[in-house]
Amino acid sequence: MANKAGPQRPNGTAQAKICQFKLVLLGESAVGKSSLVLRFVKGQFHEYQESTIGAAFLTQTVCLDDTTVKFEIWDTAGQERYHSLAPMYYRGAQAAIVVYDVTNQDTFGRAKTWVKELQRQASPNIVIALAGNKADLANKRCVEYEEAQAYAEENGLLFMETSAKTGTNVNEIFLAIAKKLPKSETIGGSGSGQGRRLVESDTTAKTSTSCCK
Amino acid sequence: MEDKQLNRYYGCLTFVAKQRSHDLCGSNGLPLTPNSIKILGRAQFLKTLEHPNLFTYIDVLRGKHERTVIVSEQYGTPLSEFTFENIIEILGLAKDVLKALSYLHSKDITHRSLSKKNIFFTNPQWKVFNYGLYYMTGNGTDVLFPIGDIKYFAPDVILQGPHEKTSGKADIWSLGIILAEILLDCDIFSNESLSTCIKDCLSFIDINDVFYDIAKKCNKCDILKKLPYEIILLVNKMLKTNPIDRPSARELLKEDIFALLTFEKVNNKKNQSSAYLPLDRNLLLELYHYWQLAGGDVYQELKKEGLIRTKPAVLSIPNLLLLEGTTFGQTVNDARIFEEQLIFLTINHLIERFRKLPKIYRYPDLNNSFIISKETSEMASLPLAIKERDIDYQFKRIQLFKKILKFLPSEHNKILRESRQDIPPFLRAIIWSKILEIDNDYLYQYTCIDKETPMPTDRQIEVDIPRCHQYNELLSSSAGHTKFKRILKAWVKRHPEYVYWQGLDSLCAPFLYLNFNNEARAYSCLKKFIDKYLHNFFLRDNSAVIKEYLAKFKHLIAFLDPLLATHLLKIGFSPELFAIPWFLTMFSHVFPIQKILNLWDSLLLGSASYPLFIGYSVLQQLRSVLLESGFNECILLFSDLPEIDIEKCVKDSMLFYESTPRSVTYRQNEVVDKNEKALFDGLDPPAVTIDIITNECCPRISNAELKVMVQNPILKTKLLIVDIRHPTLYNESNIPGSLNIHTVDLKLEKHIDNSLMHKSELSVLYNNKGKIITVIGDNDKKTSEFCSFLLKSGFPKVCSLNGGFRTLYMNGRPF
Ligand SMILES: Nc1nc2c(ncn2[C@@H]2O[C@H](COP(=O)(O)OP(=O)(O)OP(=O)(O)O)[C@@H](O)[C@H]2O)c(=O)[nH]1
Ligand SMILES: [Mg+2]
Repeated sequence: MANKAGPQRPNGTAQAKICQFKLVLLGESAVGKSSLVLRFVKGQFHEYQESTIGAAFLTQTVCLDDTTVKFEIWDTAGQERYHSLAPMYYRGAQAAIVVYDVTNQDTFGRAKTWVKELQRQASPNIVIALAGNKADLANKRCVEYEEAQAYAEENGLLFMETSAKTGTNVNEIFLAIAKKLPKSETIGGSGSGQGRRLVESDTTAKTSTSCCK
Repeated sequence: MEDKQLNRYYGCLTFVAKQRSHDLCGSNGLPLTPNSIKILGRAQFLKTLEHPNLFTYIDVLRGKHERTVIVSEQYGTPLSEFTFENIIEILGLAKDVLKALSYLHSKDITHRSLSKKNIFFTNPQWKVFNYGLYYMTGNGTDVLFPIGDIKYFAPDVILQGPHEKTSGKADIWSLGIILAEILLDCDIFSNESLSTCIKDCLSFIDINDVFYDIAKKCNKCDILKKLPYEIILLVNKMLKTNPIDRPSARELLKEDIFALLTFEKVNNKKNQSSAYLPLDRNLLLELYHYWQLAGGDVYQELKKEGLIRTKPAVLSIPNLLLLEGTTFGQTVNDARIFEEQLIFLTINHLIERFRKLPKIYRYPDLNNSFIISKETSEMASLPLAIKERDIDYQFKRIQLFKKILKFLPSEHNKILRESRQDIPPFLRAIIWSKILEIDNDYLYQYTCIDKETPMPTDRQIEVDIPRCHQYNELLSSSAGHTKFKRILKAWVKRHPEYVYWQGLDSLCAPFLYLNFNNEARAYSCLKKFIDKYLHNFFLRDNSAVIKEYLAKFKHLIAFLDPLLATHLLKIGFSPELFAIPWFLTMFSHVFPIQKILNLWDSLLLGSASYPLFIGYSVLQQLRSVLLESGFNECILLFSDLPEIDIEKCVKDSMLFYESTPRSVTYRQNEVVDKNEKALFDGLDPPAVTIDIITNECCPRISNAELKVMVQNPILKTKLLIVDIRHPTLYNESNIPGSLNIHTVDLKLEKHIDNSLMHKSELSVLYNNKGKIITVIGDNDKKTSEFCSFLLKSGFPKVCSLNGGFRTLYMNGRPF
């Protein structure tokens, strides 16, 4: 795969900044988390996208003005039962996308629960985006745009309706997050400082060396 | 039997399903299932039908461009070419067809296209053909062509809408018309246009004596008058215009007139010599399997006969296209026609081939099976891909397994032994069910479970099934989804102590695929499989179970590959990040179906710990990449696993399994064989808790197993016991041959380097590198630290004696 080679380095220019962020996707099962990541990372859509067990990890790099932002993306399993694993993935994350399915009201309720949990448990400075996915299924819509937007505003979340199928707003939502993420030394450190075990050894190592020289 | 008759055991038909426009999708954004896949799914049921008056369905294939190919048993003389000598013979035909219809209707299948071309004389009985077309096409909704010959349509068929399901009564009418034609020796409605046909047929409504009306139309009243009254009555019953008045096949079979046949039957068989040898369903399937192995390709046969025409795409472009969308000059779409032409598959060459094989293979003698084993063992070591395609080898294996299966359960050991060599794919479903020892009354058990009542997990099951191995045609068909859901619901219902975790669907997939026509067996296999390999994994809170499993996996990596273990530890790459789906689904969420089948062929033969070794073998195939990579590269590798060589994985894992003491991989959540229990004494709480296991980096060996090793002269040479207690204690008592290394002298946070090499004990250690090193101490913490020290120094096969030195004295003298 194209991005397997690891981080894309900017072409030899020493001035370019490289920032690395850990991003986690949360939301009810089958809302399209994996599909969003697949669209963002590989530009593909699989109708029969496999369900996620545990979590999957992918990376993608975007360029933002003079900065190269590398996302380390944790795509988690949506089934409620896997909930106990979630902290392992959102601990130390600098950004989160909470996904719901616009054709299913329950998934929106679940998204709100995730937002609450993140606000309580995750890094205080975490950037949270809300994604109303499957926007292409207009005739099956159950969650109104305005309702979700109002909720996002109240809670200070980025908000977009997306479609992993058509690609609408997929890159946009990741870019919006990239823009909002502080690109100065201090942030990454405090975020990942809370990480423990598993992922921690990784993030601390990374943030100290590569976050925004 | 003569070869000529064998020649035509199989016939193929083909047609094209209605194309679906591509951007249609159902709820959840999933695309709608293509019609040909729906057909394929439904047709599986037809393969289970078996009746002496029906040709058995053998195979249904799905080709490119929505094409369906049907392979069916097929031989004999079609009714259209048959000449009857007397009325008794005609009655015999009627009875046989009614028996077939009665069976079909009891299964809720309407033939709908019964005609003279679909009934064959296969001396001595008549067999009905192509009876499943209407059923498999969803009552004709999935195809563009009409199903059935209009002249045999009952008035109710013509009157009903195209989307209504035709009832079995319509078949009775068709049979009535066929009988009328034969009895009157004429062709009704021949050369009539479609509309007159319909008009004529509808004109029968309100007529009581339809048979007479037909005779009149065909100018055959004279023949009618000579027919026995009972016969006329029978045909007229079949030709009742109101389907409610028309008797069912079952009712008709009770007519007195058929009793006559039992007396007359004898003496009436046409030239006995040409009688066909009827083959039962399993034999037909088996022969077809060999036909395929011998290179038989149905598509190729169809192409040869011109039934599949490959047409350059450019030719299907219309000549003229009006702006509002009307097209001109397009050739007729394949999907609009149903070619009734049949082609035949020859199997003579196979019969000849098998006849030449020594008798021992054709009729294996289990008491003497070593001859077979010896013969096939040369083949046995060849790659699986070759063995599975070798027709002679498969023939021999299948005959042998069939024989063993016949003598189960007494031959249970033989089935295990032979399965270790390999499992013939043709018999895999049944062999697996025997290895898993599903209960004899599995069908009854499954029937008793409520699979319909809605429950809270339904939503999760419904969103998981359409994402589970959907590249597989059977699993993606609607029939497949229905069965899938029923099996999963049955499992959840039957196990109130457990819950549905995502991943259960993947586990179910291989069993459903293999037992597509035997839901109950699929369920029972799944149940037994989980009971053995995934005990407690589906508890509502399974965190301790998973934690233990992964800790043991870490121990195993440390035990077998210290370099890799140390590297993974260093980069913080823990199995939690990738191995949960591996073990929770026993790799069924990781590999495609075909690979799972080959992997599970051997997994099923192993103990409940064996999957740990499979996981380890998978890691070994990625070893060099892992060793060179940092955290991110490693995890990316697992998010998109490279091609894994399953055969190698199986072979390696067995070697690893055999060279590892059993208690090293013991899990508290494992279902242990009764006679192995003693081996794991002391490895359970309160002495050993999951937290202890998680915190130690090397496994523990049980006292009992160490004892076995010390006492076994061969095993003993592969063992080095390191006693890390204080030398004074060591001198008081020790295990003879053990090495005393006192840890106070060592800086354990380091690994062994030159500064430590001067110690003579350490050089002994080095000289014994590769042996199982069992560390014995009197303090768990120190023992664990020393193990970790050895691990970091690159020593493989390091383990600690569970309970330390004092356990040696628990039951009196040590060893
Ligand atoms: N129409 C439409 N379908 C989508 C879209 N995104 C995902 N899907 C479909 O929705 C289903 C679920 O998508 P996934 O990406 O597997 O969902 P998930 O959130 O990762 O689910 P879990 O792994 O179970 O947590 C798949 O069949 C996708 O094809 C979308 O934007 N539009
Ligand atoms: Mg997913």
